[in-house]
Amino acid sequence: MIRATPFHARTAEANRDNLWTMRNRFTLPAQFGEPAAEATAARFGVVMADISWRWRVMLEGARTRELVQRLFTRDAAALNPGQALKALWLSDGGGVRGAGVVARHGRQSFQLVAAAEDAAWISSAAALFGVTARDVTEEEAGLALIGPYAGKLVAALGLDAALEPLALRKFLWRNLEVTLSRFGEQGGYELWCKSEDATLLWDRVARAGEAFANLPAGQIAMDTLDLEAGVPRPGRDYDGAIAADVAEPLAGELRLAALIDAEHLGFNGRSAAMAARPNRRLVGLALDSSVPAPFTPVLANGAVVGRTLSSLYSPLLRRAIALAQLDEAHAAAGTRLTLTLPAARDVLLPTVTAASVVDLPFLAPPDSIPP
Amino acid sequence: MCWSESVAERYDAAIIGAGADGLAAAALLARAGLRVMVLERHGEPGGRLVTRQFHPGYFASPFAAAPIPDPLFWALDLARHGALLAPTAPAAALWPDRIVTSAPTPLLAEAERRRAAALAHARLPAPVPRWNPFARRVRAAWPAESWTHRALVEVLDGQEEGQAELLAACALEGRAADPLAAGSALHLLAPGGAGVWRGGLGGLGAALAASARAAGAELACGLEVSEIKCQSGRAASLTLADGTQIAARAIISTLDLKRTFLSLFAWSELPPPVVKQIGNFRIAGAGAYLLVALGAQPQAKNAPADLLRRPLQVMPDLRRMVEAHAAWRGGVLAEHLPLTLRFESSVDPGLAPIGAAVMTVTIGCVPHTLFDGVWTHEKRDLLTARALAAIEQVFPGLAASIVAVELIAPPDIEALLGATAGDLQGGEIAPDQMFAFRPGFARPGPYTPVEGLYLAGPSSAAAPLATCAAGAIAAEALIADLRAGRLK
Amino acid sequence: MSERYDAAVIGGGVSGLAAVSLLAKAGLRAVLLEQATTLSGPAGEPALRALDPRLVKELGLARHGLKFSSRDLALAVPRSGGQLTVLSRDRHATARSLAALSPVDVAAFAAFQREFATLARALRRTWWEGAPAAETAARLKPAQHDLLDRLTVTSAACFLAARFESDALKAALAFAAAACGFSPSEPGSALALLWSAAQEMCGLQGAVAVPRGGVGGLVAALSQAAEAAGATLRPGATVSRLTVADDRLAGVELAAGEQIAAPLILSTLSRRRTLEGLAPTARIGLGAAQALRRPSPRTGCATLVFGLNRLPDFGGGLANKRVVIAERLETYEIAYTAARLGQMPREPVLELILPPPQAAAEQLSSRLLLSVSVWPVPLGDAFDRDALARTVGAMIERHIPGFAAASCDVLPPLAAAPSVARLLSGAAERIETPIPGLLLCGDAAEPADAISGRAARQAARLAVLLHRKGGAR
Repeated sequence: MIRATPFHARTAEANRDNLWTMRNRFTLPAQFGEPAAEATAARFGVVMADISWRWRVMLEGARTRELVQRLFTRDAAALNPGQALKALWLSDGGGVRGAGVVARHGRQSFQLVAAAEDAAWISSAAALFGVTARDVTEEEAGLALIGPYAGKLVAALGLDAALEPLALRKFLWRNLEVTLSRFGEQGGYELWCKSEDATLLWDRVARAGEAFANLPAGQIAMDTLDLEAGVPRPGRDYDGAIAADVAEPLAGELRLAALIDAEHLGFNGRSAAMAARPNRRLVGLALDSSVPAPFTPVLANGAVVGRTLSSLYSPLLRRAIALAQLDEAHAAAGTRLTLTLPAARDVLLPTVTAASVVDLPFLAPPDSIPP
Repeated sequence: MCWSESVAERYDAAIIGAGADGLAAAALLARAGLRVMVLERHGEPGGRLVTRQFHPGYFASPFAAAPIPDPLFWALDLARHGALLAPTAPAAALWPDRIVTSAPTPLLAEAERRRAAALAHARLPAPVPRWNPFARRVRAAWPAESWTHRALVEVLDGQEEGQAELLAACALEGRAADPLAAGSALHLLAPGGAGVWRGGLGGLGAALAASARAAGAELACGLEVSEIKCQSGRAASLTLADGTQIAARAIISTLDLKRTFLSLFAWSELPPPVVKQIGNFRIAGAGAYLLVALGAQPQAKNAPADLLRRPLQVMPDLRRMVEAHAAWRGGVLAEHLPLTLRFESSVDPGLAPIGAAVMTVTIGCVPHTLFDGVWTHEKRDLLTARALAAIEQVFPGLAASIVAVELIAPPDIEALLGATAGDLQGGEIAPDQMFAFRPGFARPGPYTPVEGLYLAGPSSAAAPLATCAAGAIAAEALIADLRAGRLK
Repeated sequence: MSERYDAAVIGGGVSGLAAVSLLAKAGLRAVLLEQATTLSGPAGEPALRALDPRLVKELGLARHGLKFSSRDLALAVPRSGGQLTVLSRDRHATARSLAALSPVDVAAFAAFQREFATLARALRRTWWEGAPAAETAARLKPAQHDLLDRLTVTSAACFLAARFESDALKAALAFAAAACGFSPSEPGSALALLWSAAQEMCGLQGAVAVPRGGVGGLVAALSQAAEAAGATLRPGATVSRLTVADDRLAGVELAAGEQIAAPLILSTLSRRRTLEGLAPTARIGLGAAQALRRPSPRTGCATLVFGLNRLPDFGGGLANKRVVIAERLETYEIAYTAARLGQMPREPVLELILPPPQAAAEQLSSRLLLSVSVWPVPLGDAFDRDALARTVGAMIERHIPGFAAASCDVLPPLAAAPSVARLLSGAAERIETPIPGLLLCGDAAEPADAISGRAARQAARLAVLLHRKGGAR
């Protein structure tokens, strides 16, 4: 069943070429105008992006602290209300099932925000502890503000922009109940409100954003920012472990090992995860071409040494870039490899292009101008 | 650093001018392991690539730069050094009662292909193939040649209503050319502004300087070169204004043709035909820039939301372009000058205070030398007033929000950048001054009649086609010559 | 009533007559259809800048009455004091004369004449004799190749400015470009200097000649040659359209309704008039039809003919010279800009030609005729005959004291060439049309300069080839 986000009325109006895509069964604009302009605006001024499609579930109950300690690879129970952390949750065999942000709303109340759904696993785990897992995705709308001027825009809206990364705060703002948070990797802010207030929120932000060269950003621009920052997403770059005892994918092969806290005991799949020895690494690949090559084998001297994950054209780097999983031996920065570009209408023969291995991130996240 | 003693050791390469070409050449040479010294007259590197704070809180970078070739952008790792480019939005033409936006056309893609082909050809060390004019069909050495004899209006023929004028105005931005004359189509191969760099062009300049320094090149600012000294027939050292000598195995000059040869050499040292040829090379400035600080965003009638992100041509008209060109040839300011507006603060909010705007006006067909004398204050005010009056017609009420205005006329460009006659292009873009004839020495490429001296400034073949390309070509030639033992 | 011919030529004049003569000589049954009731060329313009020497030889025009009253008009440049500097074939006289105008240019001019004469002679093999281009190119020296490369992209003004010092000399030499229909400031117009140096009149290279009887005399000679060859000449026949049968060209239909069958048709009209006016509309591709609609040039060269009662006394006599009145190179530019914007220029460039005195006796009228070429003039509505006559008359009076014209005749102006690229274009682009069997052979198919007959000759040869190929089937 396909759903529209609460901002759909505004995004449809602004979607100049009527190009849409889908995430988590939500219809989202792929681009509003030129994706290159949107991606660069995220580093020049500020962009606003509809993130209402992110899967959110509230975990509430007497034993919620135990549940989160068991589920997630970092100790969320140590958070204070209003704080958050990024963590993974693994299958029994140590394979990554999902990644997301765990925020503590209250003593017994936690929220999980993730890019891909894993409802069955979380709900059944919650049931084991007698905790209610309530899907609040459709109740709330979310707007991300990313860019150097995001803080200034938030301040111009009249909200208190002094918020640390990975924190959240609730406000009553001009008769709207909103939550201001900083969960994203790009150093920006997120504004959450009730679904019925979504268009009002969009209008207020758009109006205040004119002074900051604000542009609405579609999914292509958001994915470009992710790639430039070297962040893989479940559902887009990899599929989570499908069964309980599966050991793939390994966190170490997705540059997610930092989200596993070795000191944290008792999380699901810990022993398998600690014993894992990945022999591939997630690196960046900068192609000598402007045509992207997603999910393509990467060759060194004719032999396959890995494959690309998602790939897009980066307007700031002026070339196509890709996340790639490569064998350790060929994953050093500066290595030159080749791959074949995907077939296209105006190309007769398959084109082979060279690519350089680059340490992630390609570009540091956009700097932030203090509000 | 103190330069009062002569430097005894020799550099592998000394580069005159730390502009786009100089910094690119320095970075490439340093990466190849050579000892490089770049000498810049101003206190800051960057040359044309500067951002000026012309009024407190308002930043502008008036001099447009052609796009940098992608492989060079990757090789110098400019993105990581902070050179971020927001792509150009399609242009629009403004009239008091309507706005014409640029429609997608295959012509621009064709021009881009030809530009790339010409750039690739500029890198080839092979001599120019003999062009046979009697062949039944002219077999062009590269596609650009077939536009050498075509007029701009001919190539733009077949466009929709209003698009031809818009495209012609974009091609001739900040220049003076007759769109009906043969060869004016070459302007489509020499593009002007490429988009908005974060922090203005100064952001690009700083990134190039950082890349050069990171590679190990030495950048010395505040030093002016006054002479190139030759020894046994080859360029051997540079003399600075304070008398210091800098010895080098090879010298790259990024100044234009006339400034390199006619001011850094004694004319008696060069063969008379060479002096004559350089004297006949036409260099004449035609662009002036108006930097305007606005207190509020301007409003136009029936404007689309992203209007201010686009380069805007003010009332482009072919007849007026012809008249303006004729007036420029006569040293007169035309009644209706071609104007292009850019509001860079709409893309990069850091260039103006929040809520305010910065407007850069590029004025074409402005002569460097007026027929009745020098540029006095009255003439500058007249030019400013004419430009602002025309802009007021398309942006009513703009004049009221002006906070500050600064005019950069061709003599100012000459004083600021050392560009002969205020010509940023380093020479007229005409069929007899492009490709093999730019600058037209016997040996193609960056080579000059003086052994050991390479020319990489705006008067080189690749310079109008792309930024930094001329410097890269000179660096490559120098490295090849060094490795082959041709440089002592 | 329908007549059958092997080829039909539309339009009289030099090109049409030359084409029909050549076709008839080759054995084809050819007919010439001319709208006017008499076959005569433009009256009163005496000078010929170019006439295909092969045409003269093949048709034996000398036998048919073509004589020249002046074989070689020298270029004259007025200088102060009512004197003329004469640049002729005689090197010593030229050097002496030029020394009075500009001593520093004497050596440069001699070198220029030599260099261009040599290069032009080498290129004539291809331009006039049809030798393969590669063969000609192989015989050129590297310096000549360099010069040629430069000429194809440089403007005449820049080229002359780099070579000479004297303004008057540069301006006079630049008229060669204007005579070809280009502005001297147009890139590539320097090639026109070479083009005029390559023309051959009466065996003399680079000459400008005056046939006895003017162009009319040439036309008369051509008519005789055509009749002697066996061609049918039909004045008073206006072609209204071309006819097509079985998907192939069948012939023409006259205004009166008469049908003439001819599988090969040569037209002296412009490409636009032929393809738009005469050809059946469905035969040309839409792309070609759109290309025809391109705006035609708006400037041209006008000719005025002044009737004089007596020869004005000027600088040792105007006779047998062509005097170019242009103050400096900028004069061309200023006048060209004005003409392009639709205004009559206040100071155009003039070329005066007064044939030798004995020619007066053979002229149709009893007066001396001074022919003046004026460049540039705007075409269309902006062309003002009276204003032009006044301007030119005043200019001549300024330069030639004692000039008194008894009459002035303003001929219809000729359009300028579309672009310099025509000088470089091959015969196929100029002569062939999208319709097989239809060829262009008139002034519009010439690269530069009307009245040379070269296109007519090329078209006739091609038509003969097509006829022979078609006949063999």
